[in-house]
Amino acid sequence: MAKIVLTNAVVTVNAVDLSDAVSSITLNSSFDVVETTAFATAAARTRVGGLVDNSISLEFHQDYASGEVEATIFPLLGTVTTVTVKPVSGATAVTNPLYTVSCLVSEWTPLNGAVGELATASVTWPVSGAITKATS
Amino acid sequence: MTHREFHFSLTDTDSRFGDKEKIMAYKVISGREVCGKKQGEVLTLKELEDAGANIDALIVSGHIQASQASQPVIKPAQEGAKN
Repeated sequence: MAKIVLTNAVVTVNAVDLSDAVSSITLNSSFDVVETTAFATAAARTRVGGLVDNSISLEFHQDYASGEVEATIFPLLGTVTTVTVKPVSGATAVTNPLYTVSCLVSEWTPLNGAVGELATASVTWPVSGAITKATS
Repeated sequence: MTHREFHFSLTDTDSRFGDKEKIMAYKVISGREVCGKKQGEVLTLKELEDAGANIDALIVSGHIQASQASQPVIKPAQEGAKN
């Protein structure tokens, strides 16, 4: 697999393709580190993985038209919705996996920006459950 | 006196039993793809459910609307029809 520069990643929120309104994606997965160090462990700490905590961060270019970004996200506030991300537009494959998560739409910034700047909305939504990875 | 009788034929289930009308198909009306379908294309309820979509939110946000094909069809019976 070659190194990849993200240029046409795919993002859907509630089954709606918002790829051309998203400028940044971070899908994060982090396990709690549970220490298991005890006596007789060769003077080194030992650990096991605990609960996993997943989240997704997206940066949107704001758009208030019907069927666009704000209209798509606002009705989802406070609900759990499906978000999918994929590195490249095109068929899902081992080299282009599709990640699916159920996110709690816990935050939204309907209006953000300074004079002369692009209106954007940056969110980090916690994932409810696991990350599903499809390769076909 | 002419006896008139109307028969109501529904394409969907449930509604005769007092439940909310169950719409089986939706048309994409926004310029964005929904479940991979483009504007004007029809999505089935199953496709939306399989994608984990919040249908009410999609309607409110102007992405989809109930497809004409899934609306109830009301057919008046012919005049003078007998039981």
